[in-house]
Formats: sequence, structure tokens, C-alpha cells
Amino acid sequence: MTGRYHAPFAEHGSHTIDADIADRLLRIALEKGGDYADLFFEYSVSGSYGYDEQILKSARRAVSMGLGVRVMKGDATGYAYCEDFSFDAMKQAAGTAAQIAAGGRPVAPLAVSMLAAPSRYPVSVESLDVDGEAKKAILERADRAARGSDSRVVRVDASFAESVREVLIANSLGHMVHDRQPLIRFGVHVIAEDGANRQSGSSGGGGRMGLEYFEGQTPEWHAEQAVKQALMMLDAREAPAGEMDVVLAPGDSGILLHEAVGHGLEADFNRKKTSNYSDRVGEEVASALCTVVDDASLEGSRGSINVDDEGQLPTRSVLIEGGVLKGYMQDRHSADFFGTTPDGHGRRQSFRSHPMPRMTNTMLLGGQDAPEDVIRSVSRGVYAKKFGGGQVDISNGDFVFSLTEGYLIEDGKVTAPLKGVNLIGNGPEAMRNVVMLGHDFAISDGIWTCGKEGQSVPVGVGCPTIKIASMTVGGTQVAGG
Amino acid sequence: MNEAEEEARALVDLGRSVVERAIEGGADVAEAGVHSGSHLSVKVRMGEPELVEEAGSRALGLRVMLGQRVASTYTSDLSDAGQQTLIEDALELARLSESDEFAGPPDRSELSTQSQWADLETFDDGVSQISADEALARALRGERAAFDFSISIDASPTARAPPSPVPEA
Repeated sequence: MTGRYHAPFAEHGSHTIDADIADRLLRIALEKGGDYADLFFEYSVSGSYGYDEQILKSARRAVSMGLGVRVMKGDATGYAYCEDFSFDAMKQAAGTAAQIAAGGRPVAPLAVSMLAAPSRYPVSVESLDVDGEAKKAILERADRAARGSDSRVVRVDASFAESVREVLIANSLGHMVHDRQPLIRFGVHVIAEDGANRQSGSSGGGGRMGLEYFEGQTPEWHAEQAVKQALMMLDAREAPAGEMDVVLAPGDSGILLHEAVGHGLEADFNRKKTSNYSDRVGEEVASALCTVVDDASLEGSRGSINVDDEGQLPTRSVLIEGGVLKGYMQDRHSADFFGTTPDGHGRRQSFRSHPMPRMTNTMLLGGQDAPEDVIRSVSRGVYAKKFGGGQVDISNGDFVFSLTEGYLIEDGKVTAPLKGVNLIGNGPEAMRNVVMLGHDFAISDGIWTCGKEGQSVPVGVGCPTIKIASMTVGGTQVAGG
Repeated sequence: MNEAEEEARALVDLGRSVVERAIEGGADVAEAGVHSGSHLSVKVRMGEPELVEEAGSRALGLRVMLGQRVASTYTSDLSDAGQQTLIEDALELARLSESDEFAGPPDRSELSTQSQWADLETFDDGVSQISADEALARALRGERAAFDFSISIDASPTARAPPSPVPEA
């Protein structure tokens, strides 16, 4: 058994949890009644290294572990957690969660047996088991490359974050599943200065893999991308304002999809009828070019999971097909409500929270057009390459997004870099206005984290080059100026 | 001593022990933060309980310095093995860190002592007496009041629009 970090509840651990213990705890959880109960054992180690002002300035590591017990009765959830695996502590958590069903008769859970889960992130050496010097060297390489590339680079920050999360889930339906989820994320951020003009650029990536990530995307390459972006922005002009064509670059632009459409397709919002997609299954919600899927099975992707946090094995969910809404992303609770099977989207940040429908890798599938033809078809518009952040109102799909890298398109050519670009629109409307899709689908390079109700989970996003006819671009230069 | 005072004493003892062992392990400066808490959260929706969440938690954080090299670790595993990993990891990471001239605890003469702290009465023991049932009753009254205020208020989602994802690159 190699490796420094192992869950106490795993095989050979100090507090191994077997089917027998799981059964006993589930029985306690359902002793006052209830429709369903699950046990979520989690052991998570996370670390980060921060490199700035040319020194490894911060080095951190955290270990967090515990058991979350959930009992459901109708629409109500009882949830309790403990942070040690002594039977007394676990028993108390189960008994507390059981209170939600108070007044009912005991329910017998089905005896659990282990389910085999797929293996979408086989890692031969986890980064947490690699000597710190190797990780420091990666950050030094990025720093050196960024500073050496242009004298206008005045500041470089590089960071590396790593984690491994081991989970064991057992539920009253008789399922027991185990998974070990590695995750790394690297980033470099630079500031370039030209007189009084200061602009920044960044680049990053990672996924569910070890340090072999850097054989493909070297620290030098990321540094180069970050510097290029910062220098480009030094020459950026103010963004135009008004309605115009917008072309989204492949990969990270998928964040617009995640926000403006994805959240609205999470089943809990639709169960509660707070999403603008409620009661619209079977309707046309996007142009016929659009097929949107959420797929947890992509090998090594940041958003991928072998099993969700309710013990359900995720499948590829087709959400929108040829523009027609096919269904929502389900957790158990919502699937019960909609009379369908849970499809593996029940995720939680940690054992301290109950799960809810969350995305994994959310993607708009590629089309037939050559990306050059997409650009060529625009007489005046904006090419959106990198997104900073945004907000969406899921009740109506309205969104605002800001770009950190964008360009003007004039007469079919990408020309001047732009700053201060905001894209203002409505998710369903934007999807209906998708008029061209490139054949260059790409998935994001492992940088996105999704937040919902205070719970963060790592996700992936993807899309091809997309042309959206007529979106509002918020800038300061009104047409003609 | 009441329960809270006993727990506080246990936390201080644990922190002290971890600091001592970090110094024995080679640290020049060691600071431990120990926390213990309990949590109750309830949500209601359309006049019915939706979620009742309860837990107790304890955690331990350690920051060490080897000269001007800093590292921090954290754990919710307070077993002997967990504490051992906390200290070893902190020392190992500090050896990897590089000297930061601006790092460092304040001068000893600037540190306050407990007797100097003003009692701002920020801890109300009454909070731990609130039961899940009582919390549910209050939440239901609040929701009811919102519905009673105006017929235009007819739905009560407990989820607000999610904030945007963060590209923490």
C-alpha cells in the first residue's frame, strides 16, 4: 500500500467500514421511518503552493474527514454529520438525522453490497505523493518563462493546487460504492506594464491526473499564454456597445452555457418551478443546431466523476437535442418527483452538506462549420476568447458576463483586442440565436469551480466555435464612434 | 466549570501540545488555532420543513516558521495519527517554502494576553439551546409572514440564483 494519505474507513484503515457497519448505521437512520437514507464517508486532503515575488511564499495542506448521514421523508431531509469514525459518533449522527421522520415506524434498509464503479481517472502517482521540490520546480519554470519573455512583465504569480478525495457511499437501496478522486490545478497570472497602462493575463489548467499533465501543457506554455494575453490587452481599445454578432471561441466559452442554460436545467429548480425551463420538456428551447449534454465520463476531466455523491453511477445526459429540451439533471429527490431514474448528478461539496443536482462536464456539441468560415461571416462583431465572471438569474435566464480577452471582428477578420467587454443577454434567447457551430469542439482545461447554495464542486465546460446572431455587447463605444 | 469552559480548556491544551511538538520538531515559531463548534440549520418551503441539518465539529490549524519560511496545515482528524500528520506536514512544507522577509509573528512585546481582551459578549450560550423544532417553528412563521404580506408573493424557493463559477487559475 503506497501513498501517504489513506482514508481510515477504507480497507486496511484504522476504522474500516464494511457492509455490516453500514447496515447497522442505515438501520439506526431509518428507525423512526423515512423513505431513504444514505451514508457519505469522506476523507479529503488538499494542498496548495503559492509562488510570487519569485519565492515559494505559501505552502498549505489540509485534511478533512467525516461521515454525513441523510434521511429523507417526503420532501424533507434530515442531515447530520460527525468528524470521527468511532461507532458512537457515527451512531449519534445517524440518530440525529433520523429525527426528520419522527413519528414513523422503523423502515428496514436493503442489505448493502459493493457496486463496481468505472475508472475515469486512473493515476499511477498522485501528486500528493510527489516530492514538493518537483512542484516548486514547476512554479519556478512558469515564473522564469514569464519574466524572461518580455521586459514589460512586472509581476508574476504562479500557483498549484492538488487534492485527493476518497469517498464511500452506502444507501438504503443496498448500494455501496467507493471512489478515490485526484485533482490538480495550475495557474499563472501576470501583470504587464507600459507607462501608466497595466494589464493582466492568465492561463491555467489541470484535471484528474498527476504531474504528467505538464508533459502536455508545460509551465512555459502557460506562461507564454498569460504574457501574450497581458501584452495584447496593453493595446486593447474600449469595447463597442450595441447589438451585434458574437463569436465564442471553443472550450472555456462553455462557461456561458453552464451559467445561462446549465443551472436552469438542474432538476431541483424545475421541481420547485423556479427555473425558466420548468414544464418545458419537449419544447424547442434552442436553435436546431444545438445539442447540449452533461457527461461525467470524460477521462481525466476536472468535472468527471466515477460515481456521484449519492452512490449513483452517472451516465451521459442529453439535455437538449436538436434544440428540443429532453430532460433535466437529476438527483434522487428530484428523480422521485419527476418519476424518472436518478442519472448521477447528485453532488455535494463535502460530507458536511447534503447533495443536490449539480453539473459535471457540460457541453454544447460541435457542428459542421469551419471556424474560419464562422469568423468570415461576421461583418462587425466581437470574438470572445476568455471569460472573467458573470451572473445569471435562473428564473428568467438573464445573464451578464465580462470578458478578460476579446477582439473586434471587422469584415470577417479578427482585428483589435478589446477591453471592458460585457455580454448581456438571455440564455434561451442566445441559444435560439445560435446560427453557426464550428467542428472544433474543445473541453476546458480544468480550471472551473461551480458554486450553488454555498457548495463548490469542480466542473468542466466545453463547446466549439459558436456564432450567436445579435447579442447585446456592453461597452463604452457606441456604433459610429 | 461548565461545558463550554471545559471544552475551551481542552482546546487550549490541545493547541499547546501541538505547538510544543512543532517546536520540538524544529520550528522556530508555531501557532495553533483550535476550534470547536456546533451547527444547526433549518429550511422550510411552502409551509413544510425542507431541511434540518445538525452537527458538531472540531478542527485544528497549525502555522510554523523555519526562519522566515512559512507553512500552514489544517486537520479535522484530531486522533494522535491526525495530529502527527498535521505537524510533520507543516514542517516538511516549511522546509520547502522560501524565506519571506515580510513573514513573521508580531514582536513578543506587542502580543496581548487574555486579561487584556475586552469582553464584547460575542458568545451567547442561549444559541446552543435552540432546538431544531424551535428553529423550524420560527422559519415557518417567517415564511407565513411573507405570504401574508401580499397575494403577489406566492412562491418560496429556498434556492437563490447561483453565483457565477470562478476560474481559479
